[in-house]
Amino acid sequence: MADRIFEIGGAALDVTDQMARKLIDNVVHAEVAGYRKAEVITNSFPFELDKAMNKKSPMKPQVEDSFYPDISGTLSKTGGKLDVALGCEGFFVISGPWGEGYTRDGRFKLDKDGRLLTVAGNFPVMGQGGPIIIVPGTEVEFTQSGEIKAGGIVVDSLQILNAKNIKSLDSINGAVFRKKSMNDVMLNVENPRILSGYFETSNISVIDETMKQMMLEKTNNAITEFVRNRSTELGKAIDMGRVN
Amino acid sequence: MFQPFYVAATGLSSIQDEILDITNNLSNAKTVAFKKGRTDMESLFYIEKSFKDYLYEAMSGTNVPPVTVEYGTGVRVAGTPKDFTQGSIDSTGNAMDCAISGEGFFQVKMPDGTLAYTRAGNFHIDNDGNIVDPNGRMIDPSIVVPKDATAVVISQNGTVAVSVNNSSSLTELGQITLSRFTNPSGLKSLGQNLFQASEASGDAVIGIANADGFGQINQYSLEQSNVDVISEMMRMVMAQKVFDTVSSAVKSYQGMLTSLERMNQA
Repeated sequence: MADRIFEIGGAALDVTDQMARKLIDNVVHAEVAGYRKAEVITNSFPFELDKAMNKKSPMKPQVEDSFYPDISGTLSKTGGKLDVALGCEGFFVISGPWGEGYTRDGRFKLDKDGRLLTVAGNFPVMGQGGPIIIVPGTEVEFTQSGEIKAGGIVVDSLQILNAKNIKSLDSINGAVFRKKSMNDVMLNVENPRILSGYFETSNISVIDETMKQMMLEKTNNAITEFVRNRSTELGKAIDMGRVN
Repeated sequence: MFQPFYVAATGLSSIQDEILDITNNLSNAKTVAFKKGRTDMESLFYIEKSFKDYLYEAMSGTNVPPVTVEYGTGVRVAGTPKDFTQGSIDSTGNAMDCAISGEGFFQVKMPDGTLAYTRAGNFHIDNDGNIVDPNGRMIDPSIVVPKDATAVVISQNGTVAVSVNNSSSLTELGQITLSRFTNPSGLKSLGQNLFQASEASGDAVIGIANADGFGQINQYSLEQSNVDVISEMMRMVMAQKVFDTVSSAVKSYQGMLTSLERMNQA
């Protein structure tokens, strides 16, 4: 007879392993601008029990999804003319090989042709009129409302969009997101607030992650200890039934 | 199974690069017109499923609930751009010290004939009367100060004039030319306060001081390094903390694996 304790223990260890991976993933991105921490979603036991009763899945905990909480990172002052942060909800729009992308990483740069690009990945930043291009040699300035001035003349405005449902966004690398499907809706942010000379840092809290890590290690140790004890008990039961 | 260790290694390596950058900034806190560097990191692309998930799905048919967990593959340094914000301008009292308040760069001629660009205006006059940088490279176009000159006057637009034998009249020798770039952060650092144009920076736009945003030249002054020691120290503390946290997470994961090994020994 198979012992379900081992199966459930195995599944629980798999869950803690995936949580540990996410945790390491988060802490290595603590210094990446615009990065959004990810959390693992696990199914609660009663829900799993219900599923098991309906023979939809085995009765064990299971990782089902990743979740990117919509918490902003803190702002870091740089004084750089091409560093901008969003002081409102929403995302800068960039153009990548996958199509339209959304990020809160406002570290931009210009290439030799005057195209405004993201520092991370060199993706063109989109304005209301498409990719933003500045005449080479002119002084660039971002206004609070997102207008881009080159040599004192407004040339375009940053395109700032927000997802109607934040869960409809799919992460490309934790700092850049895209729509999960073409039917998902992105809304134009009315009256955006742009802060020039700043960029938004990662929203990772090193303290939170350290606490989570301690809890995770303890949970993992408890599960392994439980499985080990069960194994010892079974061993004793087998010994007891053995004919001398 | 061991992917977290590789992911952590990318984090530790990137933070080490950042600490190196901070150390370089702090070392140059007193270097004339030094422009601080910044370590820009970016996350590597994600994988949605582990191999195990694919294998599990393939082996168990179609009744597997979709797993949408995303795993990162780590982080890397995307670039170390220079921050060309203006450094403070300090008075020195030396006639050959010039500071630019604005976006321009002085041009100096390299031994191979190419041009390099610098914000450091601690010039000297060499044996032949040429205005040169501390390493003896002539400014471009070159300006020769006659040996009998008793005073050098450099105006805000870069015009260099001298007084000969304490005469009250000034003789104009030439004008210092400045360059500016569309993307100065893309300039290639050569060391010794020099930069070289690159594909990222675009070609130099040549002009003169006090016009078109090139900035004005201030004689008897030097631009100081734009390194803010306190900010750099804060960056250092944060980088160290992240380094410690990643190391601690790796240690914790190792502890979890050890616990698994112990379980197997029961």
